[in-house]
Amino acid sequence: MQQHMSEKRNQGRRGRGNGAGDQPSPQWADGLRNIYDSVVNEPLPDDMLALLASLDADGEK
Amino acid sequence: MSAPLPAAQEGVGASPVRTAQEKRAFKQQLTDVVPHLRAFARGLCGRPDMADDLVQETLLKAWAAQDRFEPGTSIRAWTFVILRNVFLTDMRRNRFRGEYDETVAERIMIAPAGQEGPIHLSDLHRALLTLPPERREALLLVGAGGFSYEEAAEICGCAVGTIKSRVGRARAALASMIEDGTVPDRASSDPAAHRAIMDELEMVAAGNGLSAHLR
Repeated sequence: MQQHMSEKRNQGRRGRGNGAGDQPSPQWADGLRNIYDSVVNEPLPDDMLALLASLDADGEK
Repeated sequence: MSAPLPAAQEGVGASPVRTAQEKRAFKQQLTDVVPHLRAFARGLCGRPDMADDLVQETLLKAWAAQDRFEPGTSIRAWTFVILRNVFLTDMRRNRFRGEYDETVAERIMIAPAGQEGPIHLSDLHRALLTLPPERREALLLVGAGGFSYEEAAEICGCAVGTIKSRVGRARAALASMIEDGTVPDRASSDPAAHRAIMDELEMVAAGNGLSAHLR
């Protein structure tokens, strides 16, 4: 599972670098990624988990 | 060979109905992408509670539209399209605007190379939220989410050149706010910035901002 997650993550991020490569990126550019990554690393809130759990309850929702 | 059909012809033998196994696989992918949806949403709207509302709505829409997802393509890109459409629709309806919540990034700082003091991430996020939504999302996708220009263009339903230009303008605006020390205060409800955002949004809402995929 853990491996699966990180695999997904890398797939999703394969474009990194292409996008930022055209110009020198200032130090604060890392801050944008930090903001993003800090949320990615948060545990999911309970209501989000509950919603996910409810998705296959009736197969349709 | 079945070509993707436009939404109007949906149901006319479009996609085969998903099996239970395929639904399980889809749900797993959806679950895995939730942290990214939350991060994108937080960047777009700043307030964690509203961001999570956007994500929940996105998950329901994605689940309902799962027959239209092509297995093997990027679920992250596909769900981001849905999320941004939900965001733009909500903004248009509610006159919703980005408001920053300090709790997340308050204590995290970054040190700019060879410059005066460190920059708080909260300042950076606030600066980001003053950008017009289409520039903000372009920068989020490329500069934070790590998408290529091409992928970002696909998600936003616009040309690659347009994305490059939006990212460039967004970076320039942030750079000048940071270098000049003109990042808005935390309590700021700068009417000029707000108006600029709303004007730009009208344009996006009226025209080509929404991606065709899931309109």
